[in-house]
Amino acid sequence: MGKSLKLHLIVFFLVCLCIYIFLLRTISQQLAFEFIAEKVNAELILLISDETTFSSDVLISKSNFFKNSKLNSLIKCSHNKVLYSDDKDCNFFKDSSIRWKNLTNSKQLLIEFAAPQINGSKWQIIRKKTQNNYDYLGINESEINQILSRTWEIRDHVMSRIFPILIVSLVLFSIYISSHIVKIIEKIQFIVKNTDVKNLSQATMISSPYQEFQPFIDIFQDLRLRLKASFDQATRFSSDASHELKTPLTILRGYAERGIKTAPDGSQEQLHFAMMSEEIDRLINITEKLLTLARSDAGKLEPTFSHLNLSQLIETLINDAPQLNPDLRFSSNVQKNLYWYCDAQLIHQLLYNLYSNAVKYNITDGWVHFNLHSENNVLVIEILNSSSNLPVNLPERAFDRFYRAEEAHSNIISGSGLGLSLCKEISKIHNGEITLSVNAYQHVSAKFTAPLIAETTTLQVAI
Amino acid sequence: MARILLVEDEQKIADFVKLGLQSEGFDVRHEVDGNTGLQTLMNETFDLIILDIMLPGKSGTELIVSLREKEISTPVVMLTAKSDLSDKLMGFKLGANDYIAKPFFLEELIARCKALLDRSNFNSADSIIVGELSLDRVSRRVNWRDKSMVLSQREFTLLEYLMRSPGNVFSRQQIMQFVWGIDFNTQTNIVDVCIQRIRRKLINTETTSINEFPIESIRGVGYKIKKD
Repeated sequence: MGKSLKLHLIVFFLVCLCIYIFLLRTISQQLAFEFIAEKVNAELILLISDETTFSSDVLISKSNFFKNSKLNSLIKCSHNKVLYSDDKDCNFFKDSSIRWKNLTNSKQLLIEFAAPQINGSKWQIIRKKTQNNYDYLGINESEINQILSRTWEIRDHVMSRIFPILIVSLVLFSIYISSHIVKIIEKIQFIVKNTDVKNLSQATMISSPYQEFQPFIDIFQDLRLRLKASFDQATRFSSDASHELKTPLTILRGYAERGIKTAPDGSQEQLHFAMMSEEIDRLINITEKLLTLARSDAGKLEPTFSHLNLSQLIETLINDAPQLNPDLRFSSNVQKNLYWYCDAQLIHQLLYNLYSNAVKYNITDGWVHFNLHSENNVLVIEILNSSSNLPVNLPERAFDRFYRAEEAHSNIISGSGLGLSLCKEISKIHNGEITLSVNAYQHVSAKFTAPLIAETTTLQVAI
Repeated sequence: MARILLVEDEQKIADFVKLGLQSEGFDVRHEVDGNTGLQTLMNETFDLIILDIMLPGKSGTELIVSLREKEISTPVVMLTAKSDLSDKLMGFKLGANDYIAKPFFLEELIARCKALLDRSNFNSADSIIVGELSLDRVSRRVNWRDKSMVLSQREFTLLEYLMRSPGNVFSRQQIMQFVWGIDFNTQTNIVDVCIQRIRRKLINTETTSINEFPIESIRGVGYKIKKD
């Protein structure tokens, strides 16, 4: 199974959500900082630093503290929550018990930080050395914490309001995009699925609103055209070759037959004509099979359906079998009067091909067993036989054209290697399936299954 | 003597068909294309037409249509390279009486021609008689001299097949294909066994020798029914 587009979209959706939440949090944090700055009545820009902290959320940057051009004006300001050096009440900052920590390495610029307890409340103070004095900036931590917690409340409130809207909009967006893409894919899938021999020549235009799909569509159209060209060739071959091959074969057969008839009975000439005739028959047999395969490839093998008494057909074969192959044992399990709507000629060929394999690749004193039954409207024809020395890959390769088991190549067993591939085509035409299997005892089973009620009206040869 | 018109563009096929039909005593006229074929049919009367489908000028099917339009009901046997049944059905729809696919056995063609001629003369026989051998098509009963036996389906089909053209040699393969519908080489002697059975049914070995029986086996070739 390939990767699901839906799964990818869900992952994409989740990633988007995480990014959105992160961004939202950062933005609302920024908002919160500005809120604090306003609350403390100062335009303090609080930015990230690793040095000094009020709490985990609020940080004062030493560099920004210093760089801030508004520091001077800030110092002049007065507020009950923020105290400055100018303020006479702030003399306690100068308490010698406060331990200052240097924040800079420069000698010209001295900025120090301390977090003392003053009058029972915790303070965070930064001081900057001026020419002969210090500028102080101090913030009461409990006050600031109050403001902060209020800020977080506001942030969470804003977040909780935005969150559902965010989710809904994301979901809607994802559905829109995915359904749009899926719709195009389904459309392409539909066209590809419904492409067969008959409409290959019709130029089906697939339009896509997305340019990303265009190369894909172009490739498909190109493949269609190439397939059409090769189909046309195959079709031409199947009709031209038919005529071209059958004319000389007719002439050969005609003159060989005439030769047998006119030569004196029992003469050498007659014997030679008979041998020729036999080989011509073989050639005709192979040619007929090849032409049927070619017609099938070109989608020109049009079956003629009629009601066939399958039970009777198989019983006739079973009755003849002991005379055809007296050294084999035959058994059967055939359901009576099983009728099937099929191409009688082709099914006859299929059955006799399977039979001929079952007797040809058998062993001395071997056996053949026939099965015919229907279950749940599925027809099953099975021919089992004993065998030996079968190649391991037989079930896979047996249906290849011109494939023959090794010993068959040494001409001990006659045949063209086309029988089973033809059976496969016949099976396809009847919406059926044909399989070959070999068990541990070298018993071969050729099994043909097909729906008993074939959808004959819509039957097409798919590519 | 029945007159047959053969319309076939392939000269070599026409030659042996003509020879074969003539040796059976038919008067055969050959035309190479559809247009001259139709012309000939307009001017002369024939008992039977053997028609190739793929013809230069007017195709075989077109020829049949014009023929039937002109209410000429001479029986037609179609020859074609297309062995599709759909073509066969189309042929019959258009008014062909029989159909034979290339490559055909000449003997088969002759047999069909004879059958059609019999049918058009309304004297289709229930029994076939060759010399002392007679075969009833309805009861499958065969009579030879003083013996009378009912044959099995296969035996009957085989004997009837041989009796259709006495003197003609049939190969085992040919017989197997016609009687058993088997076109693959089974390395079997089923044909010989079946012929043995027919012989055994009809020959009284005490009074007659096997050579007197009209089925003759030709070594390495096949079988034939002796002509009278």
